Amino acid sequence: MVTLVTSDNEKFTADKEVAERSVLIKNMLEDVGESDQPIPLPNVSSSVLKKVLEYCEHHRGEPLPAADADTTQDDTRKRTTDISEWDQKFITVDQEMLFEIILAANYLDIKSLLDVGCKTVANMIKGKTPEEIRKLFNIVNDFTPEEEAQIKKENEWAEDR
Amino acid sequence: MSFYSTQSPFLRLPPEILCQIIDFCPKSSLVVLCRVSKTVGEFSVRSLYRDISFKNASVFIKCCYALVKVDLAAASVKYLRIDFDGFFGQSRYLLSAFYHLVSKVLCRLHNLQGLKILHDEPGYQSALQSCHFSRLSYFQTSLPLTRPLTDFLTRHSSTISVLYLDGRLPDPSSASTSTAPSAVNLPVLTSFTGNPAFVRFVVQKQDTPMLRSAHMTAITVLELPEAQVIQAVEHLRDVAGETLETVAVLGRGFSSPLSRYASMHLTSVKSLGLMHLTRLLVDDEDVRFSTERLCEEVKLLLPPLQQLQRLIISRTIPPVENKVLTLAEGHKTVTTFNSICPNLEFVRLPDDTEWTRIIPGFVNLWIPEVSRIANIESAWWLLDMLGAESRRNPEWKSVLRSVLSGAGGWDASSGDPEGDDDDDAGEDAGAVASQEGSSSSAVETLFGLIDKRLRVVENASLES
Repeated sequence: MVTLVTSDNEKFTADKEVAERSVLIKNMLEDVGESDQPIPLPNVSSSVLKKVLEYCEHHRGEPLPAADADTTQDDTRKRTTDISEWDQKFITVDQEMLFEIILAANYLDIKSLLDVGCKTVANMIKGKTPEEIRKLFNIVNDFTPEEEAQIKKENEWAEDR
Repeated sequence: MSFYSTQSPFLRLPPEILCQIIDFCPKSSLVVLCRVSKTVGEFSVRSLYRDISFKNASVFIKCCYALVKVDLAAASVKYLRIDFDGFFGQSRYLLSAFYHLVSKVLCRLHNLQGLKILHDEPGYQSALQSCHFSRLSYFQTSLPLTRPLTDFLTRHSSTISVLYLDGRLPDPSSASTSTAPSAVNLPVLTSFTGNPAFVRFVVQKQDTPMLRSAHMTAITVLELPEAQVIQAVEHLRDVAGETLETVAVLGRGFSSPLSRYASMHLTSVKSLGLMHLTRLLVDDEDVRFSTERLCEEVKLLLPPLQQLQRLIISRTIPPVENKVLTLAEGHKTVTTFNSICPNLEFVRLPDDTEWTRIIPGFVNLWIPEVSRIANIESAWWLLDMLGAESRRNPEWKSVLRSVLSGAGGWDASSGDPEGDDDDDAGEDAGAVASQEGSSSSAVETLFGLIDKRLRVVENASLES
């Protein structure tokens, strides 16, 4: 078992196998060696870690992506946003929590969870107008109407099929 | 910008995460995101222009205007593919304006890493003449190998690692010395694909040989005189024979000089691709290249290739009546191949069926794609093939299961939906795995069948 301490000082214990889905934790454990020392996670709050551990628990035993799976030409272009049913349910949270999970997955280096989070945000963007996206994420439009029209024109080619 | 962005949790995400999110967005969303705000727009332009591909001249021209005008768009392009017809019947004036535009655009793509120009129009040659991409590592073109092209390659010799050239050599009678190609030294070239006649120009002896694969699969192969084919293969052997791991050849059947000389000389090969060029129309000639006949021809190529691990035989177009070998025939063929090449692990037969060898503990035990054995008839066959001997090994089931489940690239739905049903009378046994089912469910179905069969066998032996 591994003990994790969150930013709000709450202690979590998890199976080593589960905790090690985080590459960060895995590397830490390797550096420290066999030890009961709790691992501090100052960037993760307890509410988020709870979710993250739920995810890791569900996916325990699944193969992890290769450590240096480089993002080749093809990989970066895989614009597939399919998310499995369980993951979809899991990630149905409010926007604040969604971003927190993404940040935690990034910090803890859990690639599959990071992907699920990013895909979810991408799916939220899909099919929306610029104004709807601004509203969704509270983004201020700093383009003049002329600039916006100009950009639309420049990128028109990409709308052709 | 920063004042406002703090209001948005989205914009507070680290840039690399914003990039990832935006990379997951389809093109239609990127176009919209470009207009959301300056920050979001910048990320989106990078993503939208990173990898661009054109099958339509007018779309390409529209994009060119953006690339000429917007610096960020031009700097974002890493991969560009130009592949369209239909523009070239127009006036010379338009054509020259078009190539002028192409040239202007290309010169602005400072970060280009991959370029495909799937055309042999000389206009592209002049468009390439003035550009230099300091990071170009992948280059593909159908342009003829003339001096301007070899000059272009020479300018990029320190970065090009993957080269795909399927144009032609200029006709020696018409070529002047100023356009005749010159040999190019490409020290980091790892993969060459295309016209074998180009090999001696672009593959040279290196202190540290890097060339791993040579795919002599351009259609121009068929026009080459035998002497040039032999020259190309011998040249490959001399300059890269020891590092070459993957070789692929194209031909009408596999008794062509190219196939024969490749197998004779490139003996370090671990992976061999043999592509049979099928005529578009099924004529009498295609009957001559039956699956069995192709397999016989392959057999003759194998003896020198003692390192061979993967053998991929294919046809450019599946024949209309694609006769699929029965499991027993297929099994016999691959085990025969295996007896010639002891390291063989994977075979794709000309009937598009794939076979994998289960390595530990089972010599010469070959298994076809899961989709082909996930019915009752085939499960019986598989059990017979495993034989009582193999089953005495207590781990045979778990080995089989792990091979079947772990074999990536085995897609149950890719199996030929019709071809192999003729021999399998057992459909009403209801055990055919659902065609869209994943291979894991096919594996489960199969093991269900095997267990059932084993119980029958055991009961029978108990009763007797």
